[in-house]
Amino acid sequence: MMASFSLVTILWSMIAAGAALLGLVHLTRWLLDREARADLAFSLAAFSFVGVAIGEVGSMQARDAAEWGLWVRWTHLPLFGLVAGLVAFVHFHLGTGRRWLMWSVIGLRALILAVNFASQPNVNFREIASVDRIAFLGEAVSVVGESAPGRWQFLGTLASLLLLVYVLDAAITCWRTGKFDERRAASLIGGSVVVMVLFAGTYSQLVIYGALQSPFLITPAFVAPLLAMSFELGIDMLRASRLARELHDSQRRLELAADSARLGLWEWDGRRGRVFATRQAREMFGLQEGESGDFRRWLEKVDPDDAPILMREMTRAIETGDEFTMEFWIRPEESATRLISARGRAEQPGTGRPTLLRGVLRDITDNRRAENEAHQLRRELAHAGRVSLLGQLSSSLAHELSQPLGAILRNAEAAEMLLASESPDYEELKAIVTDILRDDRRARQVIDRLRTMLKRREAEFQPIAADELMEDVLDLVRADATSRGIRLEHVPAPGLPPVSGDRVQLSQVLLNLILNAMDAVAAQSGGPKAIVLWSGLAADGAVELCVTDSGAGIPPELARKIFEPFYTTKFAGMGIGLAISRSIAEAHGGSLEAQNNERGGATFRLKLPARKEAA
Amino acid sequence: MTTTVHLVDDDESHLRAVARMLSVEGFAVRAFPSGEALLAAVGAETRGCVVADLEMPGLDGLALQDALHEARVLMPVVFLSGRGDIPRTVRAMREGAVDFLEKHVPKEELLAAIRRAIAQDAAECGRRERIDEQRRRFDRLTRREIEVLREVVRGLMNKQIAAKLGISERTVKMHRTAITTKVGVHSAAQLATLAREAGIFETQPGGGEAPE
Repeated sequence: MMASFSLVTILWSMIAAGAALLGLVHLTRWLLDREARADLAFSLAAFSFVGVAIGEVGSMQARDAAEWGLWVRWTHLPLFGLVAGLVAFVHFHLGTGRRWLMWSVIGLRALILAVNFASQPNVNFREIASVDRIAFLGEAVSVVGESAPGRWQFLGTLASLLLLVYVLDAAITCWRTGKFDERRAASLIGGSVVVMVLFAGTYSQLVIYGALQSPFLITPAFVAPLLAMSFELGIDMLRASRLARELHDSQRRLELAADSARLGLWEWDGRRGRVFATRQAREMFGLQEGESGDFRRWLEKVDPDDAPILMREMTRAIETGDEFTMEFWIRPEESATRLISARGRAEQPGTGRPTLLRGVLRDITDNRRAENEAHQLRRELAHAGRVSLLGQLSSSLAHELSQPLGAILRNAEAAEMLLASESPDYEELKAIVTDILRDDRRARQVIDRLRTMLKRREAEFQPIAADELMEDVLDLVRADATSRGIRLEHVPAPGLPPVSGDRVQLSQVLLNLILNAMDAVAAQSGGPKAIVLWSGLAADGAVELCVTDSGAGIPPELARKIFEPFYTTKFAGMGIGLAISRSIAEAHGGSLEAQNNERGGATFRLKLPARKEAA
Repeated sequence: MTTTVHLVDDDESHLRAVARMLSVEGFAVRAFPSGEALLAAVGAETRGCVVADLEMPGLDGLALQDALHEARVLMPVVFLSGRGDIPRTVRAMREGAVDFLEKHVPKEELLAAIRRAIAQDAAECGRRERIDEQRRRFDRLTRREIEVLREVVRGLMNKQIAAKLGISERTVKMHRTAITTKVGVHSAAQLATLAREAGIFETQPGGGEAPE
């Protein structure tokens, strides 16, 4: 019988218990986080290690050769797990190491296991004749006595060497490519495993071949690598907790940033139908903390017209994995409505199809209101510009109206007198009525043109022929030019593509340019006063509408200023004409530029993109 | 003597309407689509008046008025305009336009202006005929009689004239009798007025009335 207080039993048990504890810790961690595969590998190694320790203690306390052989035979089972766990750990933790080497080690160990159970008494020995009792750590233990090494023992030697090569290779690759953390892991794991394999392997060989009479000492040899592995995993856990803290900090920072940018963060988990949202997002929708998890409560706040579209967009984003953007109205309270802009992206938490939608919410009610106001203001300004332009044209327009009106008056007077006579000339009366009707039409056309220009209106884009537009505008200013002794000429370019634009606004720009040109040539000292309107195709395919005058040109120091609002050289006028004209040109995707001609005078160039040919 | 209203307007419709109305009113009317056409058709002897649009391409109203002056066509001009343009109005009036009217004034105003213009033309015509008659009377005087007349108009007495011209006082009296017979005026004052109207002397003689 054995001594009641066996030092070997105590030591081996303590080591085994420690390993079991560590194994349990890391197994738990793997169970909580299936991604932690190195932990699983470690726990496999640790539990196997416990088996090896039991096997060693058992063999040391064996009463005869048969029992000793049996212990050794069964110890090969945990030994397989130990080696498999070790190589798997190296594979998952260092991330280096050749896969085929790993599988070779495991395969060889499996082969040894198979041979082991196929042979008697085990793979290491062909025959065990006796066991000896020797003193070890102050007590008597059983060691192998008369024996012959197994025929397949060389497999064990080969397996140890292969393990050595695999671990060394993995450690060296890791050391070469890695930074500080990886190098530490490489040297710790690599170093301890190499020492273990060298020591345990050599020691076991010596025992098996009968050179050394001693129990196997795999258990103490494996303490170092086991501790090294555990230490590594511990550092990982430390890092994870540090990461968690950093993540928390980073989340706080993100929330602060989102709060100050008035962004609400939201996350919709399609599998569970739950919503996670920041306080900002909740307040936007007027939801309490308790109710914000339920997606239906969010949807209730969305405008009934927008809600189905929102649902459809979210579903589409999840199905296609595309980005999701939408603007919709919500009613956080009964009274107020707000315009919300939502952006998000579908994410794939696992490897399957996306089930998570994550994004930001922004209240854009005020932005939209400001945009609308700016739009309104621009429209008002354009209108004011037209009114001001027509003001400059008023006497010329009065002339245009007074021609038909005067003619109507004279014709009516003539008709009145004819009718008062004894025998009215009906042929003449008929001619008079025809003339009156025609002049009425003329007058109405002038008034219609005026009314169009004076109306406050939204822009309407339509195809416009540049030269036709120029003719229309020339009709407005011709009388004025005539009375100021200015020659107006139009040089059309046949075959120009149409442009897309608002007729009234583009007329406004041309009118403005022509009136400016008329002022410029009116001020010129000598030479014929002429303005030429011409059109053409620019190199980039844009259509150009140009107004060239024979005036003094633009003084270089003013070239930049003339397009600025409220810059004017005239006594009348607000000085917003060119600024408005340029903003109109830009709203049409075009430009308005001015330059001086080589032979004097200036040319204003309105460039507009050619209309895309509609099918 | 026929008096014709000459209408000028580039606006065909307006031209026809005014012509029609004036014809019905009983005026003889000639219509021209431009100032150039009018200039080609009239001369110094043409009687009547011109009614012209102020704003026309090419020769506008004011340029037409200048051209008429140059061609010694002295018919009064009535301007019509579609707009009220004060500086032009002032200039047109200074140049002798009888009236300046907006196109849509009532018929009565336009007719009144045309009648005024025709009357002015007639008056001017009569005045010029009278002057021509007087000129013809002065034309019958001899050179010596003209010399004497000049001094008489200046207000010199017979004795002074005789001394100045180096002739006898009696000869002076003889010449004066001849002058009054030919011109048909007796007093020195009447003679002076007549001579001035007929434009006999370039420079206006000063001095008082000759005693006789």
